[in-house]
Amino acid sequence: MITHLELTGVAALLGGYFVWNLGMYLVALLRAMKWRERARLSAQLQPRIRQELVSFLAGSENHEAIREFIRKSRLDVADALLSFQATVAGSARDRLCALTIEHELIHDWCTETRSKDPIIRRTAFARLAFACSYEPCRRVAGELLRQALNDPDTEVRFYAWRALVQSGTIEEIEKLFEASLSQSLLIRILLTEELRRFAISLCERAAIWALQSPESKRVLAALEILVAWERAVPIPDLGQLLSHGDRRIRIQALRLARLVPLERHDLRGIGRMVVSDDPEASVEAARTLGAVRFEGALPELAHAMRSGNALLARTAAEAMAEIPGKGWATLEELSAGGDLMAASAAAEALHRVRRKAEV
Amino acid sequence: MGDVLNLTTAIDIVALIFLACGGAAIWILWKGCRVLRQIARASVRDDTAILLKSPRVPPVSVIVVARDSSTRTLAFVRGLLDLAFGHHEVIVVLGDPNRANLDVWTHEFSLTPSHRSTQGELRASPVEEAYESTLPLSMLVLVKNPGSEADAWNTGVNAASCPIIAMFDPESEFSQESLLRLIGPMLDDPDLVFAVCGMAPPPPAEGISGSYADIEAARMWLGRCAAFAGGQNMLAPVPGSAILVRRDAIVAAGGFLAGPLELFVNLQGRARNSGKPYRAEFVPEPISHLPATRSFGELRERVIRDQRAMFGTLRRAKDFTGGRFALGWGLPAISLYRFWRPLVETLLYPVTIIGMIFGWVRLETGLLVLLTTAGVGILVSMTSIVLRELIDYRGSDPSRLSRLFWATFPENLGYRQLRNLWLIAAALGR
Repeated sequence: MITHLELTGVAALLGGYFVWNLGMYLVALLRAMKWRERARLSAQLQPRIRQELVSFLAGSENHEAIREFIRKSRLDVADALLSFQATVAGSARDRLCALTIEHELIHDWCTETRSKDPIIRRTAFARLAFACSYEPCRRVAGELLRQALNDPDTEVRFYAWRALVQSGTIEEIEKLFEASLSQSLLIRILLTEELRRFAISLCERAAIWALQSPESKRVLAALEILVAWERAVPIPDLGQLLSHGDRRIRIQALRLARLVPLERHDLRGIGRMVVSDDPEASVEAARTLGAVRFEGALPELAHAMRSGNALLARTAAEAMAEIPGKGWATLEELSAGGDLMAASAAAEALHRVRRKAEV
Repeated sequence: MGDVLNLTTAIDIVALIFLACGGAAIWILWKGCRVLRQIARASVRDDTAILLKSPRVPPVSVIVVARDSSTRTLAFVRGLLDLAFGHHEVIVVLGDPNRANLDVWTHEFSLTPSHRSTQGELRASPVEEAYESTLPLSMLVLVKNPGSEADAWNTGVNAASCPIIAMFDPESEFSQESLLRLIGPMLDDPDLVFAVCGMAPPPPAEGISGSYADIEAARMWLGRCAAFAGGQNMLAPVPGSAILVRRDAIVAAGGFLAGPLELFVNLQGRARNSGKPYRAEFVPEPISHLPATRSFGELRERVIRDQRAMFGTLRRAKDFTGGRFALGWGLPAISLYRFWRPLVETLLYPVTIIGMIFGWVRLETGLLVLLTTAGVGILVSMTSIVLRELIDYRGSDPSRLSRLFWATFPENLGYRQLRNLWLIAAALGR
């Protein structure tokens, strides 16, 4: 049975925790009020700063206005500068970056890269990555971004890579391509976009070396990047990859085959893959044959439609629909045939292609 | 005298168990806060613009099981079609082949009969008719006879042509970027992440019922979402969540047993038993949430809906890999906290009051009951409000914070007891 003393103990325990909660509430309240004030100031300043920066980019030399904004809120000016990241390039971007030196914003960011708070640190590197496309800014940042290439924080490394893409030599870009092959899919996707404009240069050496690597993982990653560029690239000996021992590599090579000029015997090889035992490879092979409109594989595509695999039948029918004349004629025959799945897939493909033709 | 002593002692013991439960709840909230801060610190990058245009991002099939052609359902589907994503399709499974309903759908989305194959790996009753839109919408409408919920979902998965399946709560409001934000963890570790669940508390609601709903949402977000996400294979979707699941994982699990919640729990159980570090990730961003409540009626409906879904899942626990322990201690804890505690607490109040009137229960014991039920409840709710504020690095609205903090008193001195009754009724009802 509980005594008065024990009840007092429980009450004190709960009371103590209540007081602690109250203290936390007051701290949170003060913080929220401070942030609200900050947000209000930002909401007021941001449009004006952006307007001033637009005028500055258009040739205005009114530095005093920007200096005034810097005095009021350095953070807002930095945010406004960064908001132009995706919209300005060339000399306009250089002018913006020069502002970061003139108003010593870049020095703040260099200092913040040493912060213990990962959020402040990453933001600083993101800003430096933007500013360091301008050579004088790179001189101010010194070795910071180069050192960040080996940072334990993946996100900091990513910003260092992004900076490198802005200003690196082709050898450095090649190294970056090499490094990207061992990253997670997400980072590879992000870097793929950054590296897209170097596609042709990278296909001269770095991509070829990666495709010749004995490590399947690297070959696969390189193929995925090449496919994602969606650009016609000169890749010799793709035929070897089409018959690689690793099925994932074969499938990616099939996807890349749509973007690479191929020999007739390679196309015949792809035709044989349509009727292979691997359903995923068969589907990709059918898609590739449709994309390159290869008439020589119509028998294999027709065979695939009767394979009993619904997805393969549909894909093969769509591939044949891409081949006017013989392809359409084969589809008409199949749509009237006895195989229900093949007939349905053929009818669907024909229906779609006719509708497209009408449009 | 002996019986009186026994009653008082029993009440004391129950009250102390409530105190321990309160301690555990506060620990879970702290754990949730830690997990959310870790997630917030993991990345400051916004990848959505690049993910939107990258062809490397796998396509997603969004499946909807629709029972009617109401304005709300049509608006929900239209919202899904408007999602910003590189390549996604919406598959609507209409469980009611009523001609009038179908005409509404046909008119709304300009449907035309489709030859697309709807067969697949999962067992499901045949599709009566399939339609595609003639508008530039990637949409497939499957019409079938009314069947079980699992059958409808499995039909959707069979027809899906994408490797990832998305499911949204039809009651929820979601942002256009939902899929782009959800896909991140799957791309980060495509081999091990088999599912992603995203949700954030709803925007502030007006009135006292809105405050209670806010407090409830904060508790759920920190507890059942974040804290469970921090444990090994414990996360399960809560009302208002958006979910991504790998299609091959659904097929390997044999498809749906009932709805998305049961599927998720089963997949977590399979992952737990596989001996490999397969995991489901939580995205605590405002990508999807339930709308703000405007009345007590809506609040009651929401509490009951969640409780029914949870206890429906618990009743099917024997079908899951891992049974009641498919989520580790998650399901037993939910059962304890959302059924046994309210039940015992509801019984305890009249027993204590009657005991005090007749002198069988001492005043100290009565006070102890009050402290360990309502008192502990106030502290748990206060903790959830304060911790939620700490997770937000930029701080929220101060007036909202104050309103919620002080609303924890009336919440636990009136609403809590009413909510206990709702929880008991919903758990026992079918």
